[in-house]
Amino acid sequence: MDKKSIDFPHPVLTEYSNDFNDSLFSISINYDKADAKNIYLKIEVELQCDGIKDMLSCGKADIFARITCNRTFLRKVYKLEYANVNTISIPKQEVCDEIDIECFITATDDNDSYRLEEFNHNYFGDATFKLKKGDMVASEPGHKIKLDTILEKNASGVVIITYDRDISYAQVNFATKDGSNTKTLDYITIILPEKEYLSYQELRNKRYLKVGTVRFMQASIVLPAIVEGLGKLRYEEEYEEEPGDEIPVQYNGTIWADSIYKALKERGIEDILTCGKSDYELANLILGNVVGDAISELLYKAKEFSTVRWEGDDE
Amino acid sequence: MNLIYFTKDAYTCLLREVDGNESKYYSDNIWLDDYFKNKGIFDYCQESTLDMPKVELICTDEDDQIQYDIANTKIFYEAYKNLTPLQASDPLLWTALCHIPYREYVLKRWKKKDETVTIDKRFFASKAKASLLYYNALSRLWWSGYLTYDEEMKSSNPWHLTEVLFSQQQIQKDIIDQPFSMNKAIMKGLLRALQRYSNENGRLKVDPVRKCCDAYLNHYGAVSILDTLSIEEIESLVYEYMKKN
Repeated sequence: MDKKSIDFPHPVLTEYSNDFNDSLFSISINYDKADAKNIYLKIEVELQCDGIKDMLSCGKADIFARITCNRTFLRKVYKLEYANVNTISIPKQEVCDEIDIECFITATDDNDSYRLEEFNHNYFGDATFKLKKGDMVASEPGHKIKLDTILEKNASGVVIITYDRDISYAQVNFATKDGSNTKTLDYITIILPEKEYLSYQELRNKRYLKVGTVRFMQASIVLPAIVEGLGKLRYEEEYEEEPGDEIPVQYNGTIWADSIYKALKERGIEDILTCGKSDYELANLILGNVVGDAISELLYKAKEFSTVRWEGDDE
Repeated sequence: MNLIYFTKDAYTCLLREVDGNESKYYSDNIWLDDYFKNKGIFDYCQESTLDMPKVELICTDEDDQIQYDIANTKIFYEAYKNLTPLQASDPLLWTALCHIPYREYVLKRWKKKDETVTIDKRFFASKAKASLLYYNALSRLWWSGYLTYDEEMKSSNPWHLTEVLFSQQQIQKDIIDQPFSMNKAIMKGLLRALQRYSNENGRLKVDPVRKCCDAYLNHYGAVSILDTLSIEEIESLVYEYMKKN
C-alpha cells in the first residue's frame, strides 16, 4: 500500500507528511561490493528527531530494512543500528534483476500514550496516541537497486558509473583489450565527482524521484559515452582496413565493445562501417531511442511542475 | 536426469504459436523436434549441470485433484529441494519441464471437463508471481513446498502447513495472492493459525480466510510492519480474527 496515500492513526515521520516538526528520517545505501556468494549493502541511517532517538536508545523502537525481490519472492527484514554503518549480506541465489529496500522505525511494544515533542502541534495539539507493537513511527520512501548493472559483471553491460572524491568534473575511461587500464575493469566507466554521484544515486534510487528521470539521465550521462565509444570502435575498424599498420590502442574484444556489437546485431546492424548511421544514431538505437524518451520525460516533468500556461495551449 | 530449460528463442516461439499448436499438445506424437527444426531453431533445449531425478507424480481421473496436490508437492519438492529461488524463478526451466519430461502429468492433472487444458497457463511459466506460484503445473508445487515446508517439524510432519495451504484451491490462491505471502515467517504464522482454527471448527470456509488475508492483514500491515512481528504474534492475530468472524 502506498504510504503516501494512507492516513495513519498516529503521527508518522515521513517525507510526505508534516506530522513532525524539524525532523528527518532517511537512509543512504552503498552497494559496491559482492563476492561469489553474496551481495553486500551498506546502509547508514540519518535521523533528526530526539524523541525517536530516545525511543531507540530505550529499546521502545527498532529500525528495520525490508528487502524484497519480486522475481524470487524474497521478503526479509534486517534489524539496523542507528549509529553504525550496517552491512547486510544477501545471498545471490535468492535475488534476481532488482531488489526493493524499505526502511522503517517501528514500536517494539504497545504504548497507550504515545506523544513526542516533535509532533506538529498545529495538527495534533496535546493529543496522545495508541501504538501497537510493530506500528510504524517513521518510514522513508524506499530504494530500488538493479542488480545486473553495478553489482554483477555482466557480459551484456556496457557502462559503469562510479565516483572519485578527487575530481571536479565528470570523466570517462574506456577499458582496453590489453587490460592496461585495470581501474576501469572491462567497461566504459563514467566517473563523477562525489557530490554529483550522490545526487545521481538519489535520482536513481528514490522512488518518487526516479519516475520521469531515468531515461533523461541515460540520455545526458550514458549516451555521450556510448557515442564516444562507438567512435573509437569505428576508428579501430577503419584503421584495420589498412593491413600492416599497428593500432596503438585496441578496444575490440573488451566486454563493453562486445556488448555494443551484440546489441547492434540484435537491432539489425551487422557492420558499423557500412550501415550508413552515425555514432550518435547507433548509440541512440542501442539505448532504445533514449533521446525520444528523454524529451518525453522532460516535457512530462516540466508540465507537472509548471504553473504557467504556455501560449497556444488553448488553440 | 539433468534439468533442462528452453532457450529464450524457443520459449518465445512456442508461446507465440500456442493457439496454432494446440492440437499437438493432445497428440501422442513427440512433435517438438520437428516443430523447431521447421522454425530453424536447432538448439531449442539446453541441459543444465543440475542433476535431479524425474519423479512419478500422482494423477487419477477423478474430478477433485487437489488432494493429490499435497502428495505431489511433497514428492516434487523433496526431489527438487536443492533448486535455489533464483533457479526456481526461471520460466524457461518450468516451461521445458512441463513440455518434455512431465508432459503427461500436466495434461492429466489440468484437463478440464471439455478435455482441454489451458495450455498457456499450465504448460508455460512467466516471471509473474501468479504464474510461478499458482498457475504453472510444476512451479506451483515447488514454490508451495518452498514457502510452507516446516524444517522445525522435520522429525514429525514438515508438511503440516502445506496441507493447510492446499485444503482448498481458492484458499491457496487467496493466500498466495497477498504480498506478505513472500515472507516465510508471516506465512507460517498465518497457516498455523488457520490450522489451529480448522482443528477446532472443522473445514475452513473460503470467505473468512479471504477477508482475513485481503482486508484484515493487509490493512493491519499498512500501519504495522507485519514482518517485524514474530510467528507467534502473527498466529495470534489471525487466530483471534478467525474466531470473531
